[in-house]
Amino acid sequence: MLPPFEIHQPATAAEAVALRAQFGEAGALYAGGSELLLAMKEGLGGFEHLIDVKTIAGLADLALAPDGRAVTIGAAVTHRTLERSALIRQRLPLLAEMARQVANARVRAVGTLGGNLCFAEPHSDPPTALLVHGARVVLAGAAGARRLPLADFLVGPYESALGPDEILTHVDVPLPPPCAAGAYVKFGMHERPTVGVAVLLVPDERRAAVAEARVAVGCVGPVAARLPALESALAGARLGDLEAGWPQAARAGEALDAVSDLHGSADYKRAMAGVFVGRALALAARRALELT
Amino acid sequence: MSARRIALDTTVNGRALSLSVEPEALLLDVLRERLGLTGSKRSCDVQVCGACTVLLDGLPVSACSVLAYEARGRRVLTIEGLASDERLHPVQEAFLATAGFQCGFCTPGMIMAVKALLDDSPSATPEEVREHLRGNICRCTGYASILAAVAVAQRALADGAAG
Amino acid sequence: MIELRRVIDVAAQPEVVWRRLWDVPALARCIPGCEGVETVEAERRYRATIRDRVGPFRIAIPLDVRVESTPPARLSLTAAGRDSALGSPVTVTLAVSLTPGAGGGTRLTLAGQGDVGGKLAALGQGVIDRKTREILDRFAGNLAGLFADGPDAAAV
Repeated sequence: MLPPFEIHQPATAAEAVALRAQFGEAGALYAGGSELLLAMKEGLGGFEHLIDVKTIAGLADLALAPDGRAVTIGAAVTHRTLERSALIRQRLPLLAEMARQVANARVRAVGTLGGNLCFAEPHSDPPTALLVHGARVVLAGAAGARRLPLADFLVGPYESALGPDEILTHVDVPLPPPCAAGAYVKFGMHERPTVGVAVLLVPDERRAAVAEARVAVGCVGPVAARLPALESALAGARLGDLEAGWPQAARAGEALDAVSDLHGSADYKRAMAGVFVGRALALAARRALELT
Repeated sequence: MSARRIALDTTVNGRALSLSVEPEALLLDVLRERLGLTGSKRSCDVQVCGACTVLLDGLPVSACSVLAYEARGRRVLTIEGLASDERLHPVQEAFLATAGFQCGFCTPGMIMAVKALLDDSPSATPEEVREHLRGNICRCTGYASILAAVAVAQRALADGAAG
Repeated sequence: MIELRRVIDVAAQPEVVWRRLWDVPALARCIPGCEGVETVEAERRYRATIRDRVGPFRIAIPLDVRVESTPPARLSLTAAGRDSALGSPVTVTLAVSLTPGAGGGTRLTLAGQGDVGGKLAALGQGVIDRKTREILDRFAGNLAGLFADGPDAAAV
């Protein structure tokens, strides 16, 4: 089973920060435990002190930001909550679509968004969907709070920019333009996804072509990433063409920094990325047209 | 109480309990070893197979990968808690009616997953049922009889069977 | 399995380079994360531990290192061990050949291979491959630095 540890219950982010500083590498932040406990069972990381972030007031809050232009998601919000939340379904439907597909119902019941981002598992769904919204993470540390674009927070596989005495308190997700339509699709035959693609399309005024496209691919490389060249190439594309299947999508994977692993070779993953970018574009385009 | 133990006040299958457990104790071990509730199984040990599915405040969780600590002040429901003295739960009856099991190893977890689903979405479509049960693996049946059991259970519950 | 092929040209003469290669502590300092080098049998067998981290997880790999040499131009080593957390097998082989280079200097040709198996590889093959390549690359760079400033220079 698990090696012995103590569990600490900070009531505030400041207390958690102090505990992190106190325990250093012997301490681990603990939310849903869906990655941490598995790693500890494998024998990786004998952390003697678990700092339970679920006891921190407000860390599971989910609300529209005061300026009404973003949604603030507390670090301890579970995937299931994101999946079910009326606010997320209405204002950030791509996130709800992603959250619905995370792992399985049991993992969604306990796994948290903050835990997922801090563990930075490459084969995971949330970062991909968050990247196309330009999400930012908010970190609390002894020196105060700092805000970081998610792309800068995800440093590498299993490596986030979270400092040794910081905790992630929440994620700010800017709302997309009201006319935008998106899709999150994933593919895999293992417990974790092999490819994840998030697409957000902002149509032009006549809703016939793309004014702005945002595309992110996850699980293929060491971190999820946007595809800026593809996004530029999509400007002006007709939604009907995307819905029918956009030939250039097949080459989307060429720009990706793919890693060969048990999910497949780098070539295979690049090829699959192309396939699923095409499908995500088609789905998003169809939804954009249906909104007319 | 030794310094390395924590107090755990919880409710399991309707019974209020006060236990003293190690912080690192997993819920599955407390259920099986301390409480003798061996219906929930340890199989993959990594939250993939669902054989250890129990309900925590109505939500399905992997008891193999949840600390007993998380059950404090909450309600745990295991397969042993479904039937009353007089009758099986409609989901259990449905699994019997369709023979939704062979070796039975995945069955407690499968039934708990179905109960959680139907409590939450009694009118789940076949597609939604499939999606929800993706996390429960069966090596014997090929799933057809399991999905048939869910449909039977839905009809029974809709007809007023106590669930 | 990660392969390393590197050619390093240094100004020092081959005999000087050969002697420097046998300065085991200096060589060990070229390997990122290498600690606690012990001589079991001079010029034949050594022990060392490689320490590194992947995200929040620390890895320690005690290695048994066997060396064969054909003075003054060639040495090869095989380092084998298991990571202390998971018991996964790790093997590194390295062959170093010295040939006379331009202007009285030396050309070092490195041919190496790093192999990680077991659970460590299964859990993070992509990450491990990257790490192995990084370690081998930095080693080659450090080795070049060892000879770049002359025989008395400390390792980078």
